[in-house]
Amino acid sequence: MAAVVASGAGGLAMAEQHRLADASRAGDQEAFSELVRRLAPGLHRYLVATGTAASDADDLVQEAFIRAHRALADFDRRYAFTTWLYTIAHRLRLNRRARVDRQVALGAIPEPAAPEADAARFEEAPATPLWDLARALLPERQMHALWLRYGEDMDIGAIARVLGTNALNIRVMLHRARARLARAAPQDLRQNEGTP
Amino acid sequence: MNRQELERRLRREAASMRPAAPPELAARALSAIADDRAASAPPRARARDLRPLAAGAIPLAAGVALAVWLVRAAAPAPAAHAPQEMAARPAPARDPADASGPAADPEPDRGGLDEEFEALRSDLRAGGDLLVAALPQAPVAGASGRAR
Repeated sequence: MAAVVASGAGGLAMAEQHRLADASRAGDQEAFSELVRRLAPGLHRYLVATGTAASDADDLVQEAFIRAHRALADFDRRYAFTTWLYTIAHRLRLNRRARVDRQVALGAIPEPAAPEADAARFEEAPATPLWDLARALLPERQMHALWLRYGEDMDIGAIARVLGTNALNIRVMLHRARARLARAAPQDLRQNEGTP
Repeated sequence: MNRQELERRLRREAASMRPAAPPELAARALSAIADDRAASAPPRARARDLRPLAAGAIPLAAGVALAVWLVRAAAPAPAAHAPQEMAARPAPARDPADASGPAADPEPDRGGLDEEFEALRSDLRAGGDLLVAALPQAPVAGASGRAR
């Protein structure tokens, strides 16, 4: 399966990702450090852009790299390292949410996020009306698929792998997401564009 | 808005959105990985430490098994036999296919083990002598008493 160089891949082509992963597997810690340095920001961006609080995203990024490091022997070279890494992170996020949901169900008080800190990180970011609209409008999985496609430039197969479904399902999700955005966007964007 | 325009805008907005990752994120992740590696190292180190022990235990177990075999080969005959006779008794018949023991391999190179086993055998002989010496030569008084 061909994989494009995703923008979240830290500029690492698939061959370079494989070279670093192979070296890491052979015990080269510096190679794995390079993967972390290049891929951590993109992974964090993906998690935050798809609805994870930034403080939780910090933890998830760390945990995802720890899991990847432990399981380097299981890395499947048919895919990009980023596809594997994002899959791990996505599953960790699902597990974490399930754990929180169980705590809530048991009456425990979940640890509060830090919305002020998260909001502060976005203060200097350029306005992203379409993505804001997508977050407001779209079901979670459509939003994830949309971001992986247009935010990370992942191909359909890689997105399917990350989200644990098949390519056809991803195509349908993307089609529905685009259609919904296109219906809602014109007036929303016109309002935005109308302001100086 | 058509599909091409929508996709173009989505990509452009995504590219402009670079807010979230704190600068120390990678350093923290690397530190966490190093901690995890250190935490998982001791069990492996312990396993390595045990390897020489295991390597020593296998010859030891083989030695014990051989000693047991030798003791059985020189097993005491009925008590009436003298210890010298016991030592002279041939080893029990063996399966010809079993080439593991001295019956099938009379002169194996055992790296000094012969001397050790010879010493063990002489100790056993000495023990046997003591045992035979301690045996009563006359009929047991208690037994005859019971017979009466």
